[in-house]
Amino acid sequence: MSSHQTRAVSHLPRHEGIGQRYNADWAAILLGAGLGLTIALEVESMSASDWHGVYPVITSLSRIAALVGSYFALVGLVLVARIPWIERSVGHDRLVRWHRKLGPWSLYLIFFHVLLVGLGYAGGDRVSTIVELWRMTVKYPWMIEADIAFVLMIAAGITSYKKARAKMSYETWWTIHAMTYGAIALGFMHQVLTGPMFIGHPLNKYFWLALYLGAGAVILLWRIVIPVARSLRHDLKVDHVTVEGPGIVSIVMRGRHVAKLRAQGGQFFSWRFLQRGHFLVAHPYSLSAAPQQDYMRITVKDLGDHSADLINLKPGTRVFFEGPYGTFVAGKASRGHIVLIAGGVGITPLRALLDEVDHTKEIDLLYRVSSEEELIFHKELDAAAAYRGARIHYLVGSRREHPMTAAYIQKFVPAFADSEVYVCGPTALVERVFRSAKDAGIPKTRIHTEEFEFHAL
Amino acid sequence: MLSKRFALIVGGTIGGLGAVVSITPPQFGNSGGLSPNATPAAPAAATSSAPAQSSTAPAATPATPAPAQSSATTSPAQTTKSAGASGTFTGDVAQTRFGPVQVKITVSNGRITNVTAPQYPTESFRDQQINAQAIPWLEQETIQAQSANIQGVGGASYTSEGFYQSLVSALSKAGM
Repeated sequence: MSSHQTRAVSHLPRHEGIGQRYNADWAAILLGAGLGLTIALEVESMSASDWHGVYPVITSLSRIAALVGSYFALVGLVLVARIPWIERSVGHDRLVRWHRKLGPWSLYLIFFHVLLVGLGYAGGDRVSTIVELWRMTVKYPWMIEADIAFVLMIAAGITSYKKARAKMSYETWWTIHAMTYGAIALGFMHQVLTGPMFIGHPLNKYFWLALYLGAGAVILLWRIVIPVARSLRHDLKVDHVTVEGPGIVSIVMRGRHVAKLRAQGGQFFSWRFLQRGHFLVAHPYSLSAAPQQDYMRITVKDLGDHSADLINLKPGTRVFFEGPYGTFVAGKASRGHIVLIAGGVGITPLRALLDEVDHTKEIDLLYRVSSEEELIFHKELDAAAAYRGARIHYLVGSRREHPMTAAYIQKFVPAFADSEVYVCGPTALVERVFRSAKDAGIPKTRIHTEEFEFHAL
Repeated sequence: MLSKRFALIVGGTIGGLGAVVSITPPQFGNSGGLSPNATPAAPAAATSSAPAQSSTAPAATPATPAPAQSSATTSPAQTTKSAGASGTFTGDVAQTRFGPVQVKITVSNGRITNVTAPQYPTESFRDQQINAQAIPWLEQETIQAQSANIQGVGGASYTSEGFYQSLVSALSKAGM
């Protein structure tokens, strides 16, 4: 019960230590410098004729939009390229957040580019924009590819929009989203072959090529070569599959030197099972137990088209993985009292996290499910309760019965305000608990969230 | 925290842009390739400073290639070149997919001192913008190569091809 002392001491929360903040600052400066160089491509190659008249100005703006949009797209890919030092210093969750912020901007800018370039040239040529866009497509090299790239990017943008995303399966979203790589590559040639900032400016061209090749190399290395090599080295295979509840299965995998992966409870991997119908799409699932010896376990609820079929995974199936990812780990806790709040199958990372909380800490687990049969890990949780005195509160019933307000949580956990909070579940629950924790006066740095709808779907 | 990081991004952007602009100042005042003798923004432009007076130079040189050619044959080799032709030579018009290209060279004692393109595709605004970049580059490349041994410009491959053809014809008229 060190709560009084710790409250008095001002401290940095562990996940944003000084080193980490500096690294994120450096990343921001680097991002800015690259943006400056990108804008310079256009500025350097401009001449007076580029702003004499409305239409030349429009086409100049369209080129800046295209350059910056492409730059953002490349940065967006590099942010999620799993580069270890960036992952470590910035944190995967924050990288994904940045990726999500940057993505739409990239799309808006490229959209403006197409609109403005059509408008500008149409004005200069005194034809309609539609005619001009058509003329450009048929007349200039690599324009058809650029058009395809534009359509693919719009598709990726629309399907990533929250409301659209909620309506489709993870597999559909993933497939459309992965096409963005192709789109960005397809757009490259029309840039260097028809962009005035590259024509007759070899230095500009080398810079741009280096940017694309650099991004490509990083993605190839960290998203393909290294994950494949690691998967082969650790030789992970399905050991057995068990049913935990209605539509909920656990997959236990066994590999070699699993401890060397340094995976922690609360983290997730991107998994790819080498069985027909599974290997095309990778799925992110959290560990549902801390790794033990050479075993790892995930637990999945039937939500997408793919997860229903996981029950049919044959023992011995090879597993390719990327990871571990995530900063939803016990080590972040700065308080002596930990409150874990789970909604439905959101219990999985919390169940794993429970294995890792050190024994000096007090634990409360609030586990809300809508019906009794959805409760999983009953025995394991009860064992944790008996073994290390964790207080498990099973909250069975509707959202209305268990509203998860600050006052409601405090009924079970009177010292809620002075605890470290971990919450995982559907977005609605996560948002509700986040607000409640803030209402109770808990600073943001002590609230750790994991929306399983985003990566464990 | 977010606004601070935003400031860092903006600072980095200004730094990156500023660095490039201070090293190679952009040629805003320049009207680009639309006027024949404008030099491209590339730093290499300095090497072609020789034809700076070029707009008046062609008038001073003999207007028709024929006498120049004959004078070239009569007054051989004071320079390192074997044939020191002088005069202005206009290449044949080369037809490209986007329009005609024609090259005019000014030669003084076997050295190409000025290159212009009286004709190049300007049919569409798009062509104008591309060739505004490409033509000065091709002109400059020719002066540097002192021959038709030019690389051409990526992104303006048709114009480059036409430019090359017309240049070859102009050079042959100059006996080079």
